[in-house]
Amino acid sequence: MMKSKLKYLENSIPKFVVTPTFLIMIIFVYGFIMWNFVLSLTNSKLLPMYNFVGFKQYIELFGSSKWWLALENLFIFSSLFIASCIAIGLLLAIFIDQKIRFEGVFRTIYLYPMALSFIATGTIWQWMLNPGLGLQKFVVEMGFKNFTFDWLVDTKMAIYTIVIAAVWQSTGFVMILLLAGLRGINGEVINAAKIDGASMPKIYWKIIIPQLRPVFFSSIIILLHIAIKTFDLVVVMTKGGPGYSTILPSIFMYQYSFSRNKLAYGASSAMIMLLFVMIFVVPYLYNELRKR
Amino acid sequence: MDVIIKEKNSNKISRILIYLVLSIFAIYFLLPVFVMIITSLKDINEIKNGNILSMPQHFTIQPWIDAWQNARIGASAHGIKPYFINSIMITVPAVLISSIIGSFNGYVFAKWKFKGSDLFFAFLLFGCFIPFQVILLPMSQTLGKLGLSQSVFGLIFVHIVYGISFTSLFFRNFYVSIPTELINAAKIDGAGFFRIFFKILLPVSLPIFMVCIIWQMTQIWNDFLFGVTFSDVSTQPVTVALNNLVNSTSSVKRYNIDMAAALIAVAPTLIAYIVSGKYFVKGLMAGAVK
Amino acid sequence: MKSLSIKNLHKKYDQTEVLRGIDISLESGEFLVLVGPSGCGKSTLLSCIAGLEEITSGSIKLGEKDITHASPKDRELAMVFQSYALYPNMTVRQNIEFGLKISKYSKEEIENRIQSAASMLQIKELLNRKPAQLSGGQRQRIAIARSISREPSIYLFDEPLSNLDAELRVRMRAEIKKLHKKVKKTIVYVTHDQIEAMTLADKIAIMHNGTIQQFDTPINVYNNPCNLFTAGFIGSPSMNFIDVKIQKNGNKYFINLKNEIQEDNFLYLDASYEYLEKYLNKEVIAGIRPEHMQNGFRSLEISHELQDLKANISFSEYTGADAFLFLKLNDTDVIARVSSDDLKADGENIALKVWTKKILFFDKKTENRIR
Repeated sequence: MMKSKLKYLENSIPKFVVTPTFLIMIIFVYGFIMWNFVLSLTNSKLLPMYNFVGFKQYIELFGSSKWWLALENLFIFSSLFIASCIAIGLLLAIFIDQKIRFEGVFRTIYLYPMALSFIATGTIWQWMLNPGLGLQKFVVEMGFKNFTFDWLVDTKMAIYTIVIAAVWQSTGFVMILLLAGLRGINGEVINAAKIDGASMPKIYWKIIIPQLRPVFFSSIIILLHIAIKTFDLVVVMTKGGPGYSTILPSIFMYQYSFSRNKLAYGASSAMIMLLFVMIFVVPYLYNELRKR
Repeated sequence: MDVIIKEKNSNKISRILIYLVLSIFAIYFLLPVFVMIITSLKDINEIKNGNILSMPQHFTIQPWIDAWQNARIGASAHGIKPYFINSIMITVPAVLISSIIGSFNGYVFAKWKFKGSDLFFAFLLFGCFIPFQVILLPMSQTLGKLGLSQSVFGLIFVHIVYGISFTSLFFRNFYVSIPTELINAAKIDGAGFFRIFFKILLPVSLPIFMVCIIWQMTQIWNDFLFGVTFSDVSTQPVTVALNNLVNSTSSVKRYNIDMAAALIAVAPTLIAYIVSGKYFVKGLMAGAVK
Repeated sequence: MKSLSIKNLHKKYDQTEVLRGIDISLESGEFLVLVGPSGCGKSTLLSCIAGLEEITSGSIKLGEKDITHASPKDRELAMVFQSYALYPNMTVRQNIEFGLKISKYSKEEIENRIQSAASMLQIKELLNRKPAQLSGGQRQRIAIARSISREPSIYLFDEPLSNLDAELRVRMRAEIKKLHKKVKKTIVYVTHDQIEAMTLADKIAIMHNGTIQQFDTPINVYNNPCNLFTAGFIGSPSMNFIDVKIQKNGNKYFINLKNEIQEDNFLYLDASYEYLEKYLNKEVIAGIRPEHMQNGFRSLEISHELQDLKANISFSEYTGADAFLFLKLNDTDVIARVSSDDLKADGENIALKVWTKKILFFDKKTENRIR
């Protein structure tokens, strides 16, 4: 009897060990998501109050042109960001995979921006793109008197400067993922295609790239996740401006929650952000875990 | 014969093309930091009169000194130093604790599965993907109630809580690759849960600890959202201070100091990347839910 | 030295039942081999005996002691794994010590055991090396030495030779056999290799779909398989299975094996086959091992038990000492294992001898042996 009790304890050790994590997840992830949802149903201003108003905040949210602008910007930003990262990352990965010399050096150069914070990245690019002192001035002084590159302060173009900086920071990561994918492809298939007389571009287009589908898929999910979370980069480069021209849902949420005393409104926008992430991530995770 | 020469030539051209493209992109990736470095070594007049790509004429390290200890950030004029120290105080414990917790979790998820552990793992994994905006408001309430708001401890706590998902994932994936027979052999030898972990697994875990520590360090050191939300002037991490410096509206813009401060702020993660690039890359890949 | 007795053991994972009612009773000191195709449950059964898997129902007894729910370390057993499972961060000595230290033996006792295990397996000069520095064969020796040092009541081997190359496998097989003779302990050994099973075992348990099909000595398993599965599993090339009709001429049963050109080959069966009465004029499966269809048996004593078989060679495989002839009998592909001395060309006719006394019969529906 004693012995079986001891054994029961022994068998429970693994459960005990993960229990703190379990509780942390229940409270600080799932509980807080619920709490945030509850807040979004109230009329809280500066402090949380639990006077429920139903989905009023959501209705107001989707009636706000500023929120729609934030969504539009997110759409522009994330699609350009993802497309550029993948296109450049794929190009670099394929070229690096051609048994070139100094591969390590190139890889290191392409990847290092990943180590920098978005705040630092934004600082750099804000400086580079500064119309008065940056690249524009440089080109003008080279003799191109009419050259203008003032996207950073142009309400129509400012969002693209964010894309430039974000692509600079994240492309190396995609390149590394794709390179690993390329290296994992069975060389015999490529030899077989060569013997069949296929040209290298054709081999890449028809045989290699299709095999990288899972890597593209993972990359897209991760980049999308980065895009939806993007906050620091915009704060440091444009603060959402000029005007509201570079506002993103993350900025919107922060402004309303912490500086404009519309806490419930901010909470509702956060819920929509979560919803976006879930639409893409849940099927992805389901698929990944089922494979195991 | 002709065909071979032709092929050789076209091969040569394509090789040159490859190096050309790779070099152009190398410049694209290097240029901003190059500009940053040379700007940080110029005085402010030279910046205003020269252009961003010109080399410094009057080489000076004064901007670095100013950025480190004299620059005005918010109300105080002690440079970026106190915030750099804050970041160290936050990053070191948060990285270590979240890695240790992750190693135990990973060990359980890989080698001591129980009923429901896979489901639990899936829910844990989802924690990697939530946009943190969704927990920002409840967390600031909670930290307030716990008396931890605007404290270093509060930030450490937050980073641990939302880092565990990643660290557990890293360790699980690593321990899965260790043969279960090894665990079974140790069980038959009479070793229990902890002895197996400490005597058999931990001695071979150095690579994954490196990966995990570097990943967590990059995440926490570079964090801005938690820093700006849960800290005040005295506990702000370096990212928040840098933003305040760069975007200060009060004084005259001193770009050389901004650049020096930015370089100081990225130094730890950049050095970690250069010193242990292999582990950094592995961390990125493991973070990609392999 | 203890006996092992397993009663009605069941093991379920979620919905699927991987072991369904295993009964084994093994005398102390006996060498049991669990053999079967992959997925038959043999490794799971071994894990259950080791205590690495909880069983769903049933009981396991070691000697007089019920160990059904004991934890692995309390079962007085040692195990040798397929991948050897040597702790990579420890030297050979530390590998052997690990379990002994946990069991809190005295320093001298541990040293004695290390020395005696090391000398028995001739690994003394390897004691300070790490596993990564050793060859596959050496690792195997260390793994065995580690288990011997525990002086267990029962040894478990989980496909220990499958990672070795062919030559080394044969050598280690002989060594394990010698070792068993020396230590005289009960052994349960899992393999998918029937040669290993036949050469090592005192008892063989042939497993299939989570059940033991036959639990018997190697000789009986070969000569008296109890059903179609065990008959087909043991023996290489496998036993030929041919559909035949039981017929009777006077008081003698006979079958007919038509060759490729529909020539009759009537084979008469002796009095020992009278149990076929129930199957008279019915279709059954005849099992004939390839080695029982030859071009000339050496032993004259059995010449009266041999009958002629005319067949046509579709093609043949020359293996050195023997040749395999591929024939067609009753529209079924059949292999005969003949001496390669006077080989005939493909397509030629050949006159073979069949050792009719060795023919086995199986029920078409139940697939059980008719006897």
